[in-house]
Amino acid sequence: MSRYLLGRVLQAIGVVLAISLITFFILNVIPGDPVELMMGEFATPEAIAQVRAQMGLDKPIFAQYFNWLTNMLHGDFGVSYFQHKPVFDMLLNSFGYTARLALFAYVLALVFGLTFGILAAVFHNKFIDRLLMTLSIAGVSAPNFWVAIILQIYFGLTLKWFPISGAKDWNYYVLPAIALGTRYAASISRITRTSMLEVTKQDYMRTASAKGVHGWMLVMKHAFRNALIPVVTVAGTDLGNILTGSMLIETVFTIDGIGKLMVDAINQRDLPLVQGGVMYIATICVIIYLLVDILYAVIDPRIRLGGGAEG
Amino acid sequence: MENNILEVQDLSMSFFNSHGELPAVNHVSFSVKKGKTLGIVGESGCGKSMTSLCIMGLFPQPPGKIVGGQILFQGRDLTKLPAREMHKIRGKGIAMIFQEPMTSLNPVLTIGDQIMETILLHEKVTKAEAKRRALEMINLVGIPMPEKIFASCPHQLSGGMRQRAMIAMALSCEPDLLICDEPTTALDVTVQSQILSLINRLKNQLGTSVMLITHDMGVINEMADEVIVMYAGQVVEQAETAELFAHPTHPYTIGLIRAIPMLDTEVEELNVIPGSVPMLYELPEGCLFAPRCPYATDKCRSHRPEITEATPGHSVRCFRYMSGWEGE
Repeated sequence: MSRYLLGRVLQAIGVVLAISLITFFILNVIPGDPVELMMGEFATPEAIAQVRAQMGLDKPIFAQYFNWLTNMLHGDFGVSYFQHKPVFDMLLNSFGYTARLALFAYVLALVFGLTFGILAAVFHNKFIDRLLMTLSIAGVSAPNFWVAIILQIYFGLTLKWFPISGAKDWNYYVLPAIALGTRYAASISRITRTSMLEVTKQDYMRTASAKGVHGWMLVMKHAFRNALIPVVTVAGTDLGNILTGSMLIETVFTIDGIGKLMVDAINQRDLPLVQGGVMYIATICVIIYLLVDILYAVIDPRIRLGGGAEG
Repeated sequence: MENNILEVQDLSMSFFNSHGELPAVNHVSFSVKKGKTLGIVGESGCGKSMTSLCIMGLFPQPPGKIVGGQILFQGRDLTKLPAREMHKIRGKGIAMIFQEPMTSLNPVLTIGDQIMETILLHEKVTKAEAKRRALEMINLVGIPMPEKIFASCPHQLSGGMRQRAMIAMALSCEPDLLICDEPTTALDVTVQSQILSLINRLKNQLGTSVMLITHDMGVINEMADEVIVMYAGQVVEQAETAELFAHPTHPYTIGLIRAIPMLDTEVEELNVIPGSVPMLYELPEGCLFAPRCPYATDKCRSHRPEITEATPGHSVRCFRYMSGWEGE
């Protein structure tokens, strides 16, 4: 187990480093000089050169990279070109909003996704299954900004149950969480159902029935745990997506989360902010996938204990 | 009958699908005597596994449905028993072990968990007591270091060990009847004989009756007290083992016995029965074995024979026998 874990952690660090390298060089080769953009069109060449030197942009590109990397390891992601605030603080501030929204949306997606998926599998080909799977197709296919606007109109403007914009209190998160969580709930329910149905066909399910195991014990103890690996994979990827911010939902509900921050940064070519944001997203994804791998091992002893005797 | 633990009477089970009604188990009758072993033999697809799944109530339904007959277990008809009562019988009254020890154990639970589960499900005992009994069972099936195996997961054990664990699990509540569905087919020959003698030893030790399903006449010869031979969902011959091997009467049985490879005689090639078991949706009109039978007559091809007692305790379903033919 510890070997497996160590291997995965080292791998994760390698991935983050590789992403930092790629991000840095891609952002540095795209056309458009951020200093010229920042200083406006009337700046003299001397002034531009001076600012470039100040920001370390005149040094060789490898030196710039190592400089950036070391600073980042010290928590210094640089200063936003346009807002002149530390990138780290800006990311942290936006992360608060995104994380709260993500938490609500994700809990919703898990609770409904797993419940609906299990129910659909247990009542395979019955009315409940058809109903839930029709709902899930609707959930997967409806664009979330459209769901968001419908929710705003109905629950916000008509019924006046929830506010439709901003993020001052927990009730501001209800509609965005539903709008964001719906499609994830739908996709989790579909994979849960498929995986459960696959497991139901396995020989060990017949063995369990032959022992007299029945009802929910058969479903949860014998089927669900075996069905979890594909579900964890999908649910893990979903968590990564949710935590890295939803540009659409955050824009529709005017929430200053990571998604909105990144879109603004890209539009303004705010290089330090984009770099910091990409590193944040990469790190979150790598951490989530690491957790998913650890979860695999917790669920499945074949991964935890390695291959044993065969034949 | 007092002496019979299980009596299957005229049992028929069919699948219903786009081909219509497919008779997978076709008017099958037999009984298992207390403390004895009944062997059921036949090729793949002859309905022997389906018969056992009918007894357990574990055949796929739908599309499967029992369309006639009774399964009397200790005097109760299992075909009419409510689901709740069947749950109590499975694992406690009748236990079953399956062909594939590799896939028949739950990969995410330890062996100990899986054995204890059966005990906790059927008996009012504490967890500690269940664990003690599980360890005792592991010991009983001849696994060294019970504590270690108890905490192991199925993938850490060899095929033979897994089948031993399956047997420990099946016998943990001392069932009255143990159904073994091809228990050794997936195992090495040496492991195979170990498992068979283990089943025999435990049968005698615990007084369990055994229903042994196999396609291997050698295994039948070694294990069974009585044999039924099945073909395309029907019983074609039924007799005590010694009698069946001494006087095989149905051409199919004769073919099966001839097909056993002999190590002590030199043969050019192994005997085979030509053709294969007919599909359930294209059963022949007459005797089901007629298309593959070297002795088939026009009557065989147009009429279905009934099963008839040839000598006391030896029944056969064949026109040639009924018209005075004595086999070979």
